[in-house]
Amino acid sequence: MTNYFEVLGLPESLVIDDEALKERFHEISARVHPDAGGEDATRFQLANEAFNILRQPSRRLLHLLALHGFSEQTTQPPANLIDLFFETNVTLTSADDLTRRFDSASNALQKALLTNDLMQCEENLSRTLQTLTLLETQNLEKLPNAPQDWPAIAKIAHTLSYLAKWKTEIAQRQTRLAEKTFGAL
Amino acid sequence: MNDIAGIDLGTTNSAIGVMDAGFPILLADANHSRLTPSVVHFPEDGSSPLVGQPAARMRAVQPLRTVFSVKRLMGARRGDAEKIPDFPFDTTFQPDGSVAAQIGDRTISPEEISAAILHKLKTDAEAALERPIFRAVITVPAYFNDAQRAATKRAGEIAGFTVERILNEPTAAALAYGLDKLAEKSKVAVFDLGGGTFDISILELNQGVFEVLATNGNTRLGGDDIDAALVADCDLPLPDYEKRELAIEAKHRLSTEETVEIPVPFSSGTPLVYRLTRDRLEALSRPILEKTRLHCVRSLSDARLTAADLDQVILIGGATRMPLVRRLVTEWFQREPNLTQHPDEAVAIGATIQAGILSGAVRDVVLLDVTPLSLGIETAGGLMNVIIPRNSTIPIKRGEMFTTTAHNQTSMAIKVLQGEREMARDNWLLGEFQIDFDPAPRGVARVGIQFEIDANGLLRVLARDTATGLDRMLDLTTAVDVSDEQVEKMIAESVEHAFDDMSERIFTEAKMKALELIPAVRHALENLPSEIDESERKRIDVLVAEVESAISSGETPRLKRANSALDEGTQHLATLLIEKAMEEALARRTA
Repeated sequence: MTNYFEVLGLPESLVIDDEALKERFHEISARVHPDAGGEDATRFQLANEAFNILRQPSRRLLHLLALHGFSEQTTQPPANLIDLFFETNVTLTSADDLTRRFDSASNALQKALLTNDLMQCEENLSRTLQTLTLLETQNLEKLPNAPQDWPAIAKIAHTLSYLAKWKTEIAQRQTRLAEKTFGAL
Repeated sequence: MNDIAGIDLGTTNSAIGVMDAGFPILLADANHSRLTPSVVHFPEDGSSPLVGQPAARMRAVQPLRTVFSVKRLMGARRGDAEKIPDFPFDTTFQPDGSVAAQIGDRTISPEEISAAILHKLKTDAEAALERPIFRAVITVPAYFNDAQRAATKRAGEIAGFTVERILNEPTAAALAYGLDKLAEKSKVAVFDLGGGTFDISILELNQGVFEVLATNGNTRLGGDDIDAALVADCDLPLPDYEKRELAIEAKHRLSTEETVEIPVPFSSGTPLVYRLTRDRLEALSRPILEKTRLHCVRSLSDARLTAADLDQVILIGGATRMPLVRRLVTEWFQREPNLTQHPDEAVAIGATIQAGILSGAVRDVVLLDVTPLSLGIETAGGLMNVIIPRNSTIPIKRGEMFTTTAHNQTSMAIKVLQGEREMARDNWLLGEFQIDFDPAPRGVARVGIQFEIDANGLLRVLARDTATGLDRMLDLTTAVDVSDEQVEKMIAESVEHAFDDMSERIFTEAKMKALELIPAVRHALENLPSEIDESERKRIDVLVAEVESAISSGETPRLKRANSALDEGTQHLATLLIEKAMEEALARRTA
């Protein structure tokens, strides 16, 4: 299988500095992009894919695990995240309900009456996002000192991929609510 | 010669340039003009079409034979009918479902009309350079989908060019901005509001690498919409196409003046004067311009940045000359916008730089652009399964494996979609194809589908049957027609709408609206006991009473009028409610 660390000329590592990774991607792009003398798109496409995998901590860890023959099977959210899982779901569902109510309101006044709910929902989303980000940071901080213990790393990767997924969903709802708020102005 | 021209094929104006001794320059036509109006006139006598300034002069004289803003029709199909603007010339559908202009008995595709504009640019440029040009980079709005990009490429080919690249307009403008700042590292937004389209792109500039982080936009939002609002607002006894000419002149002048008065040419009897103030213009444009805000929010969110992370917000496109646009951008991004780029020329300059990159005249610059829309396929339950998410860097290649869901299944239908909606049917259908294989137990037959987006943002799909190893290239360039059944349904519906006011249904709808509105008004009044004064409260009570009595009268037009009067009469109430909620939220945050 393709080793994305090799593609970008980087040592295999649990932790990568975001800025350094981006610099490396730009350097390689400047050489292999089809417009910059690369013959066809293949080499660039590969670098592009490698950059996409390595920049996301959970996907980077899963790739590293796969390189070492360790593949993760479970699809359930990790046990220690169950409470957060429910809390996040409640927040997401209430944002979706509110969006639906807002969209089905047939006049400006009904929409205006929902402004307060929009604001409070946005506050809930921000709070959940903060919790998720904090947890993500804590898990990332475990990495530099983590032993080469694949099951332990798999657990962290698993947690990180759930956190990343929920963060994306929260951000999507935030954008949607912001659109409603600006639309109402 | 190895020239590659850079071309901005705009909704309102177009321009062409080439690299000259290492610098991008735009070429002028015989009248020393670097901008060619994107207007094509088809003379009645069937002689060859007029393009540019001479055609623009025919707009008010022969509106039925003079095509403008054709860019809005590029790649449009029957299903988009409701989004096609109201042109003075006739539009029609071709047998394949695509939209075309109908001039007398001639049906002319948007590609052919665009090709006429491109051909004129080519001829003018060749005259200026005294040598032929065969290759070109042509720009498109960043938010153009695959069909619109493919149509633009075809237009270039009809005009006699080898199209070396389809380039996104805001990215081109970023090249124009950044070419003399290659050593710098910065994050910029390009806010591009043209005649017919709006784009916002966020880029990171780093040592000659121009990386687009995110792009968003609306391919049917621009200065044309402001013109239409002005035409609707003008009560002079004139046909719409004459009002439009007056409105455009007034709009342009109001960027520097506060009030304009234009005497109407050739008006007989009492001389007519068109008057417009900047205040009125801004009141009419504001709702249109506010629509750009959510695209700004989305692009920043996708780039994972906030407005404060940006170093510059660059304005381009003719409509950004409006003082209101500049004020709104200043407010939203909390900074003065960067006005160093020529609103009408930056895109053509950028296209020329990209042409220089491709020809080797410009070195040490590389563009990493993105695909504006997510690409995917329809899966069970009519859902969209995203394979390449929006804002992925291109060129990109991604594959996915699919297996059969039934025993002895011998084929699989695959629908390729582009868009951001969850349900497949709400997205743009790029193409549909069927893959056949030998019967096998469920889950055994496997098909790999590979999506490849090239540097033009154009999609190529490859299907591979893993059992046989056979590859098939899938052709997505043909427009997909909607079925006859659907067309009949659409026609039936439009006939139904013609009898709107007579139908029971419309009254019921109006009544439902009223029954939702009245409790909302009551609730709002309760929420704002002190903010509403007695006279406003009384005025609203009168409006509510009229809606109630209109319901019992059973008269549809009266109820509709009463509803909109109440809607309008409670606008202030709505504003107060929003302000109150925002203040409360702020108080919570600072508490």
